Parts: sequence; structure tokens; C-alpha cells
Amino acid sequence: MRAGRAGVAVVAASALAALAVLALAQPAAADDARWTLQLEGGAEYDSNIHRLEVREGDEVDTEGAPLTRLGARHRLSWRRVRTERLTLSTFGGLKLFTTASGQSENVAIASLDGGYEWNLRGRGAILGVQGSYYDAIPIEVVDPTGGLEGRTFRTAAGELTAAIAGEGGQRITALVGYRGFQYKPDPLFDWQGDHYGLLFQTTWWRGDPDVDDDAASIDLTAGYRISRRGYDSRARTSSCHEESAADPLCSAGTRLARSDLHHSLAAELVYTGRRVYGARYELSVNDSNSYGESLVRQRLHVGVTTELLREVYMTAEGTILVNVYLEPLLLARDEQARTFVSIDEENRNSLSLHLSRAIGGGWALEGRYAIFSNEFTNEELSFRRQTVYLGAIYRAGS
Amino acid sequence: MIAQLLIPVALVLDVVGLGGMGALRGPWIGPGQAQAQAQAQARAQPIRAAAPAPTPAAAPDASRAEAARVARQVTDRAAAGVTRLLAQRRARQASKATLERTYQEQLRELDRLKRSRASWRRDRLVAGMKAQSQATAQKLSRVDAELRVIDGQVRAQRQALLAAIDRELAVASTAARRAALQRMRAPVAAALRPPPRKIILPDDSLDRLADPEELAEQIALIQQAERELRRERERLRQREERYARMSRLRDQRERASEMARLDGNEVRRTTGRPDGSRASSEGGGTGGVAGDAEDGAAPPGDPDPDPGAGADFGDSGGDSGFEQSSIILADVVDSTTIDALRRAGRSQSPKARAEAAGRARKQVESRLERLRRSRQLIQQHLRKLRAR
Repeated sequence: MRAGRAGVAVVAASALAALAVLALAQPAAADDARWTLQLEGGAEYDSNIHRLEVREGDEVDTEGAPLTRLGARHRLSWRRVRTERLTLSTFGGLKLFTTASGQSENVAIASLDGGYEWNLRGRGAILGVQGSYYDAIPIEVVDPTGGLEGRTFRTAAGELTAAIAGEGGQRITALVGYRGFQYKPDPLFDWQGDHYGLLFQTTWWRGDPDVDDDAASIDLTAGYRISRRGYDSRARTSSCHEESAADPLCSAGTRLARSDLHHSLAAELVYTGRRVYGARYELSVNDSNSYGESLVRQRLHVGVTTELLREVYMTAEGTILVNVYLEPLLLARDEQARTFVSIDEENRNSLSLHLSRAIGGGWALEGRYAIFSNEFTNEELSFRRQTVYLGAIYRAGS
Repeated sequence: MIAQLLIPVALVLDVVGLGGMGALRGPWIGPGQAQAQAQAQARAQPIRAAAPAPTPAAAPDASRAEAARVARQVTDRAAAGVTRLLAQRRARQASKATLERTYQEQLRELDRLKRSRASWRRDRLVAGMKAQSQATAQKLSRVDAELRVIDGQVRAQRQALLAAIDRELAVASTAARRAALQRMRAPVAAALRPPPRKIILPDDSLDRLADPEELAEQIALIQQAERELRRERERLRQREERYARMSRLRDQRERASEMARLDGNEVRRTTGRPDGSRASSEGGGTGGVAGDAEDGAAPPGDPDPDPGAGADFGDSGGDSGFEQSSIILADVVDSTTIDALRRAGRSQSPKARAEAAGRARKQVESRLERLRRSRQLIQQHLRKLRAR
């Protein structure tokens, strides 16, 4: 009950903040301020609320439970003069489980993103400064004996950007920033550090709308980012002769502070025509000086959005995520963490189907089905999760 | 592979005169050299497709691959011709800009001299400056004439290129080449379209003292304007529908992504750490792979609550039809709508484009309605006059 009140308070606070920003912004420049407000809510059933893996030979029952999703989003864009743009977006969200054992999974989300851009006319450059804050808040006391600790975190970042826009619609953005990350259950995983990135955006191909009513376009985005992450913990090293030994005692502490170098490369193609097709590939390499923390992650995401009939829109998406651990990852096989299994790679796959239809007055109904699994790798561990959602959404804006 | 992709892109940029690739390839041409070159080149004929159209019917003995190869050569030659002519045009334009600057300076100097105290020396300087400025004006006229000749050649060469592309499209064997040809074709076809002309709105007020002939002429002019406005309204309606559909699709896609962000699909597991830590190295929490979620390239298409602002923030290279509409409707819609059309053309936001097209369409419809009423009134008056 207390959790419910806290969650509702987060959503209400977000909505009020959105309205306050709106009220402040509108009188200042009614013609130059654009805003949208989105309220959403619905019921979901989650077949594996604790996201448990089933190990081969184990008889573990995954638990399913219904939950409520609530959310409020607000976006504001304000141009004081034509060459300046201020953007602000906020989000407050809530997932509330109805069962007692699901209380440890209750979570509230609060996020805030803001940015300011300044177009240097005649120089073809756009300077910007932006900041972001994201907080996942547990709204029920975690049961420490259950071994199902919440995995909530908060992160904040500030960045300076400089973009060059080409006549053909190309845009190259360079950014430098600093980011902090706090992993709430365990401060050993807190980190902070600087990052640098380069982003390229262009419309790769565009049809001629004067010739073809269905003229489509293909947008390309590609980017690279490198970040240094200094952890509030010591690096570990392998103390066993055989590095692949599945024994936690083989990991020993050092006097070095843990420091990771994180590379991230991503590219996305989006075709927009009668339907929208999207494909996105991401490659992340985490190079750590701490034993067992380096990994290579690849993620492929494809999706299609189309109108089915009578303004019913469908979005189907599929994701394959593969993690390759450069040192074996040890997983406890029992609650007391006395026996372990080591894995070198794993994957997380998902398929989702989202349906939506506007019903007028800013309202829309939506439904979603999603299935998550680790189908293609790691035969020792099996993961299945399915969710079904039905809800409504309200949008308003200028 | 990358080179194969880049070649047609470079050709397209050159063909539409945006890439400046020709200028990059060759040495820089000074105004003097350019003038001499242009005089010689202005007399030259545009490069036309030397070989006859290689179609399967025309070359029954040749294999399809051979036909495609020959057609490609023709296309490449025509594209090179366009590139060369555009390079010449750029050189002439640079020369013209230099001459214009010189001419303006000479006029300013002449004006200054005329305003100085009268003397024999001043008169001599004024006469000298007049002669210089007249010589510069004559040079400018020559450059303008040369530019007109080159423009004609560019047009002819583009038509030849378009024909070559169409012929090669009929025989092209690979999908990649066909796609490259389609990419090349669109800007060439767009460049060959006639330039947009402003719709002139006739006087739609009823002059009760006018003759029947004058009224009939006025009605004809109004009907002509109505036809043009209806055509433009249809173009705007098509654009509005198209971009509104795109906007809805993108909104739905974004909504699906928003829902996925709350899935929190990280597996709850414990790792074998002797220090008792139970967290894995993946970070955690709701909202994806924590700590990594915001790295890399941000996905495009994030909904922008101010889509119209994109034009001022680098989202250029859009739909040129909006720019044309802003010219055609300059006297029909209000200035803020003209501005919205221009910005929408440069913006990449479908929502901004749909809104601008819709706004302009409504004003065109309003103007059409006004013209229709005025025309009916004048026709009624004309019938009365003729009935007397």
C-alpha cells in the first residue's frame, strides 16, 4: 500500500512538473514553445517476474504475476530566438506488482533530459550543452534473504556538443562529457568518468515525392563513443594457474583501482515509406583491468511498423543480444553460493508485438505481447519470460 | 564495395551541381583562364550518347551482360559530360561574381568622384572610371551570355543522361546497379523540371462600369488562377497525407521503443565473488543494460516537440517541393505560412512537413473559395449586362 502511494506520488510529481514547466514556458513565448504531454497506464502480466534462469537439472518454478504500469512524459521545446533552442523532457514511470512476492520488483523511474543548442549562422555549426538524469527507485524494502535484490541505479551526465550540418542533410556531431553511475545495491559497481563521441546522421536516400506518392527515405545514423570508467573498487586478478577454473577463490584483489575503457559502436538504418523498417547494430567492448569484467556485447535490433487496418498500427520488433565474456563468468548454482558454473557467452533475445489504435480526443488503446529468451547460446541455462499488456494512453500538446 | 557505393553518389552530387567534385578533381581555374576556357567551350556541343541505345532488341547477338556493359559506358560518359559542364558553369559563376564585385566597386568609386569638388582632374578621372565600368559591364554581359549557353548545354546533356539512365535501367543486370541508377535519376529528373512560377492572382473585384469584354477577360483570368490553385492544392494534399502517415508511423515506432525501455530484461543471478557481492558485471536495474544504455549512437527519429525548428538546426536536405510551393504561393498564402513551407522543406520531420502542407492547403482552399464566389458574382453581372 505504501509502495503504491509512493509510486503514484512519483507519477503525479512528474505530471505536475510537466504542467509547471508548460505553464512557465507558454506565457513567455506562446508561438515559440512547443510541448507534448503523454499520460499512460495499463495492466500487464509477467510470466517471470524475477527474471530467473532455469539451470539444467534444476526444478525451479518461475513465478508470474500481474502488475500495473503508469507513466507520464512531457517534452518541451522553446526557441527564444530563431537560432537558439532549449529542449526539456521529463518522464515518471511506475511498475507495481500485485502479489506479495512481486513487491521486490516494484520500481519507479524518474528521468530528466535537457539541452540547449545555438546555431552559429553563417558558420554551419551548432553548439550545444546537454544534461541527463535517470533514476530507478525501489519502492519496497528488498528482502535480503531472498537473493533477489533490486538492481536499481541512478546515472547523470553532462555533455558539450558541436555539430556541423551539411547542405545535403548530413550532420556530424562531436561530443565530450562526464558521467556518473551509481549502482544502488552495491557501491563497488559505482563509477564515473569522461566520455567522447562522434555521431554521423544523414538521409542516405530519398525518393521524389513529385513522381511517386509513396516516395520513401532511408536515414542512416552511425556513432562511436569511448568512455573511461573509474570504479569505487579495486581491480581483481586471477590467482589460479588455470584461468578458466570455475572457482571464485581464483579471483583475488589487487591494490589497483578498477578502471574500464568502454567502446561503443552503433549504426542504424531506418526506411520510412508506407511502412517503417528499422535495423540497428551495436557493438560494445568493455576493456577492464579487473579480472572477469571484460566483455564484448553485440546487439542486433530489427523492427517494422505498419498500419494493419482501420488505423490499427502494429510494431513488431526482434532483438538478439550476445555477450561474450573474455574471462569466464561464474554463476552460483545454489543459494549459498558454494557451487558454481562458468559461462563464456550468453544471449538475450526478444520478440515483441505492439498494437495501437487512436480512439479520439487524444486517447489511444494499446496492447503488447513480448517474449524473452536465451535461445541461441548457453545450453546450461534456460531463460523464458513473456509479458502481455493492455492499456490506454492520452496525448496532448501544442 | 564502398567504392562502388560512393561512385554513383559522387556522380549524383556532380550532376545536380551540389558536390563540387569536379572542382575538387581538377586544378583551380582562375577568372582569366576560365574566361578563355569558357569561350572555347561555349562553342562546343554537349556530349551526347555516342552509341545507339543498346537494348536487347537492338543488339540481338549481344548477351544481356554485354548490353548492360555498353549501356553503363554510355551512362557514365553522359554523367561525365554533365559533370564537366557543371564544372565550367561553376568557373563562369565564380568569374561573374568577381566581375560583379569589381563593377560595384567601380560604381562606388564613380559615385565618390562625382560627389567630389569639380575640377579638370575630377572630370578626367570620372571619364576614365566610366570607361572602366562600361568595360566591366560588357564583360559581365559576355559572361551572362556564356552562362546561358552553358545552361542550355547542361540541360541538353542532362536530357541525354536521363535517356541513358532509362535505357540502362531496362538492361541493368544487378539490383545494386539499378538502385544506383535510380538514385542518380531522381536529381537529374528534378533538375530538368521547369522552374516554379508564382501564381498571379487577378483582380477579383466586380467593376460595375466595366464592359462585357473586360468582364469576360477577368473571368478567364480568374478561372486560370483557379485551375493553378487547384493543381497546387492537390500537390499539398498529397504531401500532407504522405507526411502525416509517416509521422504516425514514426510515433508508433517510438511508442513501442518507449514501452520496451521499461521491460527490465536483466536476469537476476548471483556471481561467485568471494567478497560477497551478488551483482554481476552487467549493471542492472530497469531500463535495459544499465550504464551502457546511453552509449553509442542515439537512435534517430526521437520525437521532437518542435519539429519545425529542425530547419534551423541542421536538418536540411529535405523535400524541394516545399520550396517550390513557397514560390508558387507567394501571393496566395501569408508570409508565416511561406516561412513554414521553407522551413518544412529543409526539416526532416514528417510532422513539420504535414503541418506546413496542411496549413498552406487550407489557405489555398480559402482563396479558391473566395475566387469562386467573385467569379460567380462577375458572371452573374455579365449575364445581366448581356441580357439588356
